[in-house]
Amino acid sequence: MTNLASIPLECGKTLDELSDYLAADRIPYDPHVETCPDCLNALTALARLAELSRDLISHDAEQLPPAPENWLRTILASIRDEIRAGRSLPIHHADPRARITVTEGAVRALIRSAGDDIDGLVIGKCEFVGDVEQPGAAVEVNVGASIAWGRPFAELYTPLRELIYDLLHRHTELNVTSVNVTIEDIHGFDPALSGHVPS
Amino acid sequence: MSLPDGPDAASDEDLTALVYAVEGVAEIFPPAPVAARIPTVVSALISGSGAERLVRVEAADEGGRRTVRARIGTDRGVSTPDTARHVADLMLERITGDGIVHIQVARIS
Amino acid sequence: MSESRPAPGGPLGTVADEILVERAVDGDLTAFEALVHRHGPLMRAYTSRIVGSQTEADDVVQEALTIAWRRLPSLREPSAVRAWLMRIASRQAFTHLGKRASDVPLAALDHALPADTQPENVAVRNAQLEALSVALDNLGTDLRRCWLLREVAGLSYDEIAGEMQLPASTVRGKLARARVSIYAQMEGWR
Repeated sequence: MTNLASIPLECGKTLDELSDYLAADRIPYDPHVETCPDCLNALTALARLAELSRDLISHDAEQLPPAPENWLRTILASIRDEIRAGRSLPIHHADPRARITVTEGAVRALIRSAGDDIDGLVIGKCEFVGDVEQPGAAVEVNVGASIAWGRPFAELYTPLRELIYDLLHRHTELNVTSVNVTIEDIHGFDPALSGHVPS
Repeated sequence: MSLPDGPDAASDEDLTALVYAVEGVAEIFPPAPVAARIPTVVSALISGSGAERLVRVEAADEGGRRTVRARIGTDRGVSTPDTARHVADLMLERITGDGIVHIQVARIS
Repeated sequence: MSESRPAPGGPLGTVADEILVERAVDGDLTAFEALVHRHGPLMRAYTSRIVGSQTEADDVVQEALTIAWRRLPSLREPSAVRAWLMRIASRQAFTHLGKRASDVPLAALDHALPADTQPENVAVRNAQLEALSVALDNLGTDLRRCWLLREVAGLSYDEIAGEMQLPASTVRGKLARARVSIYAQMEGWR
């Protein structure tokens, strides 16, 4: 194999040199290589190998029989107990002997699941900015969402914000100063189904 | 382990039933370190198999004080602060004098 | 916005990688599961090229995914999660290899290819892939690792250099050698 690589093409360049040139992303520009038909042919063939490799692994992945049934379950079981609780949100009780908290993770999960219930929305990021562990501290809520293609944001924005305010009021004692919703992404766009580009 | 004022098994189960009966309580979880080690405990609690004497509420002496810890899950339709306060009240009724009751809401479903 | 292919099941199936990562960082297991559905097959295929056995590869990918869950909050570019997952899988695969006897030659993987009754261009394509498969198997471990990290996982030379504890210039040289070796073996398909 090394013999083949060091045998020069008619113009004098070897495959070794061309492969090096390709690995350097063809920089700096080599005027000989870039104008020599033999070199260009060889470069093209070499470059095509990269694409073929990606095809090969994708092909492998598609042909792969599914993993054994408990493969995924074992993974999920081992990480289930590591679910992130986050910070502790205080709940007031008149008796000073009682210390009550709600985990940040519980509230996030609630917002996410309720937000998902709104048709056309999938909640992504959900973060509480501010000292949530301090009673009365100002807290901003930032929520990101992926919206189904074709659903106008204006239609979903208000119900989502109202929902979040409601949930936080009912299940926490946070002093929520603002709820900010941003669209992070659009999902479900199928060009084959539509005749035009989404606005 | 039962609370100081309820030394026998019956009190433990009564207490669990009482906590479950609080409007808004959906689940009771074992204290965190136990949950991590014995996943089956949670399902036993939720299925209500009261025959098992499992640790539901952990009572201990910490720094000379009775400390009670409970982890619960609450119902989405009911105020979580109200629910948690009711559960705390139940625990507080069973502590004479000094002590701390820790209630953590770990899930809202 | 995203090139992720759809995964089976649920509204999370068509959602972009970034969204799934954000939710998984929050602790959402179903989002993580969606990521596994989406990227798991490629991780398993890629890993099996490194360790040489699908059963072992599946074990390695299980470990890799558990590690990925824990490290997900440290992922700076959620949209690059596929390459990140491949990197973790690659590291686990080579750790696994290190525990096996070294210098054990890898048997060529047994991949089922479609029957000969396919249309001619598909048959040719499949034969090319088969030839590449054999050529890859014949590369030394180091060269193959370089090749896969670059051409399949899409890492930069610096990133590969970090993974393999080598200078970037050495990585570049190895890639060049790997390419030539594959090319030479696949001569018939130029």
